[in-house]
Amino acid sequence: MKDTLPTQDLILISSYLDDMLSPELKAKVEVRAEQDPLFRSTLDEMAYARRLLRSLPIKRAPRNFTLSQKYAQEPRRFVFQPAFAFASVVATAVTIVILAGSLFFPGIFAARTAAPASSELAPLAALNATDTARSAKQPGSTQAPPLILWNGVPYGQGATGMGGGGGGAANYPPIGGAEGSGLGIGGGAATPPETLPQPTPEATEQPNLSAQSQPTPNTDTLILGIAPKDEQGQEITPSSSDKSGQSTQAKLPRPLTTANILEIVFGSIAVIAGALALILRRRS
Amino acid sequence: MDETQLIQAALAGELDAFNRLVLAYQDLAYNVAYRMMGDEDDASDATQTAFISAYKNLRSYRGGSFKAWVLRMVTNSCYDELRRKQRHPTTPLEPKTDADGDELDTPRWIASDDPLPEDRLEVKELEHAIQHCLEKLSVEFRSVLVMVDLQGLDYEEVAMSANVPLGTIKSRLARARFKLRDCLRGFQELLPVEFRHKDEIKQ
Repeated sequence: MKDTLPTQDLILISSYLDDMLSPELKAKVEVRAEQDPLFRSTLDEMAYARRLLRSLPIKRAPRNFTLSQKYAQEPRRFVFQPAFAFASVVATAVTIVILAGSLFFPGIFAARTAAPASSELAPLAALNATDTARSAKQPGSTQAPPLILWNGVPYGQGATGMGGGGGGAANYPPIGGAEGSGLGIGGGAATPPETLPQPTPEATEQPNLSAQSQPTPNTDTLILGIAPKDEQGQEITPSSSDKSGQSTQAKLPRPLTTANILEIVFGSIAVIAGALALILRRRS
Repeated sequence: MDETQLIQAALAGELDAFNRLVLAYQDLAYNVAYRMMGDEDDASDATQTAFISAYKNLRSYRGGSFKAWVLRMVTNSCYDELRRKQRHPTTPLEPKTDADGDELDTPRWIASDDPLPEDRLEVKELEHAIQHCLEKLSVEFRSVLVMVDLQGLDYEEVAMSANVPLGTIKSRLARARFKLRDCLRGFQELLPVEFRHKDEIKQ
């Protein structure tokens, strides 16, 4: 058996007690109160609670609450506080949009990749230009230009000056050998410098062609790695399927995209403006 | 000067005119604040804050019952203060439990330090009991109950003050009275005889 009335009945009783019902509704409530004991008891108890509340004494205000000029004057306002708060919210929203965009639409944001620093690619560009010029002199050459490793340094850049030393028997005293034997610091026999092998400017000799037919090593070692001893001095041609440019770029530090820069800028604005707004709000 | 003229003068910047309105409504405002907060000092603070807020926002008054508009400021001020107290609760200096951790047998609403005559004491106990039950209600129910049953405002004024529809006020009032009735049942034997429910007296 239900011991409480629905809210509609409670509202009806409450309005009846405050004399807020029309005469018809009032008569209905009175009839129901005579017929329904639960309705009657609820009516009585709510009337009792209402009577108790109304019996409470009205307190007098302990003092006057009138305002003095001090209270009435306008407080000092920090006009920039709303501006900083707004800027912080906007910057946060923009940062979120960029983050979401780079996450869900990487194509749009990756297309605006900034170029790497020119200083990083200058040696590579010079190397490519030299090789391109060589290839142009070879009629019918359609393959990518060959790269030569010499102690881990591309041919034509670091090899300049190698092959020096030796000789100088007249200038340096002999070490551990008979006087006038021709040995000196720097090693090598006192042979004339004309006999030293000279790097040829044209990479058109037969060994180059044979090197092209050999299996291509991992081109990741072309620029930064040191080739094994048996491969040093060999000319290596990257295969057409090997995108040497991309692998070279992969070794470089990942460049910042426009989206990254915008994220950093707007994130910084959001943090700084938010902090300023918070400080100004606490001071106001 | 009648109330409308005082309001116009206050809107024109006359602080004296506004202070006359304050004097007219401060008892009402303080009573509502006291029943909402349950503490005299908190009620004083809330009332003062409400009148300062009323003065600064006087231009938002768009006519109608000025009493209801002032009471809106008072109830909003009480809401803010109650929320602040919820965020930063204070610990009373006297313990609510004894050394064994059991709740003390003498709750606050029974205790009275004042050597009052017996009749005054009974009224005080009734007041404490009702205040205890009021504080168990939510602030929305409490404010409606206080404004209608303690201050005698009509439903329209309370609706304007609380900024909610009339039907909501009726519903809140009915449910608040019902909850209050439930709470007061527990205090029947402790209430003065003339304030007990007739069924209880018969028993």
